[in-house]
Amino acid sequence: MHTSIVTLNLDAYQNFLANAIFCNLLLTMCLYWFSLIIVNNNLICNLAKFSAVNSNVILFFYLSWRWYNYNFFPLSNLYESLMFLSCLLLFIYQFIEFKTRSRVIGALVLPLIVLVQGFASLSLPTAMQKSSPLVPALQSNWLMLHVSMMMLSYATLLLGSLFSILYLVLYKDKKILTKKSIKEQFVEENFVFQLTTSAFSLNQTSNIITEAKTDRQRLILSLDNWSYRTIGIGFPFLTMGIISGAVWANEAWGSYWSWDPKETWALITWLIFASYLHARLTKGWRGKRAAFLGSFGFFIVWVCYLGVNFLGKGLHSYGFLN
Amino acid sequence: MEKIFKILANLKFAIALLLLISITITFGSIIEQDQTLDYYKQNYPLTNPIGGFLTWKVINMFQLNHIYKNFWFISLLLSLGISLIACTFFQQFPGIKFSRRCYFSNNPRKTDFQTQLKTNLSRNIIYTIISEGYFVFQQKKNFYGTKGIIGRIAPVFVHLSIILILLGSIFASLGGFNSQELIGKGEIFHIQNVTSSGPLTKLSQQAIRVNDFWINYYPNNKIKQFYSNLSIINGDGQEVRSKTISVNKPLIYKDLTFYQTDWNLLGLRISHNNKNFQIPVIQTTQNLNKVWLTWLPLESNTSKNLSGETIIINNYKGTIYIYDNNGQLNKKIELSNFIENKNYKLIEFLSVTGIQIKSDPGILFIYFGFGFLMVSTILSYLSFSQVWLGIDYLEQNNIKLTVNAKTNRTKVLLTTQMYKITKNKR
Repeated sequence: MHTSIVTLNLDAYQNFLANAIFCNLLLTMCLYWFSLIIVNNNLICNLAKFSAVNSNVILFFYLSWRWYNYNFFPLSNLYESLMFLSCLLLFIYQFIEFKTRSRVIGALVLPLIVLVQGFASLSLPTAMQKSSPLVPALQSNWLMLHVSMMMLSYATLLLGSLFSILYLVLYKDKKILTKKSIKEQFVEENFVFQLTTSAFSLNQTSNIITEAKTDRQRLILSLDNWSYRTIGIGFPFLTMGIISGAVWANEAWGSYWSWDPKETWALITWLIFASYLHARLTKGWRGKRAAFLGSFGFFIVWVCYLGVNFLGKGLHSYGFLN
Repeated sequence: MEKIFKILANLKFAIALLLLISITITFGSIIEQDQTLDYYKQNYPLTNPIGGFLTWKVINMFQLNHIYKNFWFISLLLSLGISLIACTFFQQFPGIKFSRRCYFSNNPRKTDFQTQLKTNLSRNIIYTIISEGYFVFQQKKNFYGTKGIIGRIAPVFVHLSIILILLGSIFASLGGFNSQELIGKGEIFHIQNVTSSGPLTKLSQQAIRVNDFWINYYPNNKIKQFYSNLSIINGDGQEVRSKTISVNKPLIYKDLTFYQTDWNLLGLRISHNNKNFQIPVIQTTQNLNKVWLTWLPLESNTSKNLSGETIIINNYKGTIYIYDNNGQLNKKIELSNFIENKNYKLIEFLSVTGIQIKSDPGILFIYFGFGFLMVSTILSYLSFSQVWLGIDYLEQNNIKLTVNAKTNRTKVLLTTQMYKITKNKR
């Protein structure tokens, strides 16, 4: 009797918390967009940042609470993994924002987080939001390492490829970058951009600037760089996630690779981003072609994360079958 | 020959290869693997090709039905391996050689940062650069500093570890085997039912005894964990090792690994007037749960007609459900209780445990490859930076300092860093 009352209470709070997070994120997204329109008002921007931190904290406590209550790492089903993903996305984008001091990132990433949260809290049936006991194969310490690494890599790779997509969208305007001087500009632009964003005024001292660049040009070139750096760190995470999964599979049923659809798609993701990173090394491929591969990776990550589960085969079905 | 290797080492070739492999395995994840020909005839008919080209004939021709094992996919993987080796020797090693050499220059080309300044504090700048973590070398009026050479070396190890993993999987497919056995409690068994093996495989003759098998349940009757207690038996019938295995906790003995994979119920042992007999059970599934049925014939004093009771078992907790001829639930019986009157007593569940036995001669290579790959991909994130300082002496203790810097990854960070260093020294 006593326990049933406790769980009832928790369920009520869970609903409240999930809704609070969703509303908070929606508000943050609107604030970020306003801050892009009303450029000279720092208040809105700061408010947006505060709101994002706020929702991140609530989300973190929500997940910790589930961990405490159900006694296993809150990554045992699709609902929890979506929650975990948006928590990570929030955290990583705030880190990049702190590093680069650009509001564009928030405005770019928050719609994605709102969509993930909306899907998790609004469209998943309540039965799937509940935590259920782990099947024998999942009872391992590898669960924590493997799944959290995979989610971390999904989050970073999604962010990085999102930058690539925006790069491609903005790049379409041919007037911005002339083909001839792209390489020289790349070097200069990075310099100019970083200095302007890093809050020391360079304009009067630099001997490099020959012409004034538009904000948009700067944005495009820094997007290229952010994308490279973010995917660059997401790739080792993905490697560790796949490898920890392989070691775990070898521990659990004696084969580290069985071409299960999820494994196959994780490998496809890995190969796509490996070719992205190599394309960046090739002369003439950085920029547009690399960005194309990077944006392609965005869809591949989603197929790998969610799409494969709809096949309903294999071990990674997240309970879609039942 | 060298020309072929140059092509194999080519980055664009490698990228094309990576993309080709991803396209191939995409097909592999869409098309069901290892099915019968009839299955493909039914699902990929000639009249209605999927995507305009995918019929069972196409599948058969390109062996898409066992895509991961067919020769052209294996040769794709092999060419990836060769390309990796070629790239390591023709691109990466020369690159490292070049980076390890002190590369003094007055006027390095294609740098990410360049500036000239007049100062009398050249030593200050050099100290700052050293304190930023650069190794600085001097040659007369030229200075050369490098940082993060490990970021240049790590990609070599990424490639080497992938080669190691590929090698390990080749060894595994040549000399390894996989076998699945269903063994009853108390039985001694040898490896018999081999599901896969290579041309160089030597099957082990090891004897193993299954001492016990049991299952733990959650309160909601879902299975929590399976356990089998195994003993390794030597030639004299002595126990050498014993361990309770479960899913995620295999037993490793020499080159053999024993995994808990499956279980089943074969029958019930029942005693009747101090005589024991066994009845078999039939397995079926209900809502993805295993259920077993059997029929217990009963002696009847009143009539010569066949009489008996249906028994349903839906878990391994020691409970059976007894239904009468009309399909009505009669009663629920625990182990060592009487089924009917005082005559029939339920003694034992006859269960088998599913054990998978594996031997993998490549596992050491693969695990080392995994380990190196994890470390080296992270280290590859580090940027390799170079700084060149050139000094020209001017009058009155002043110098003209030419600063150049270059990096392969953190271009923005480097330029800000160098700007900060040079800014205050003007």
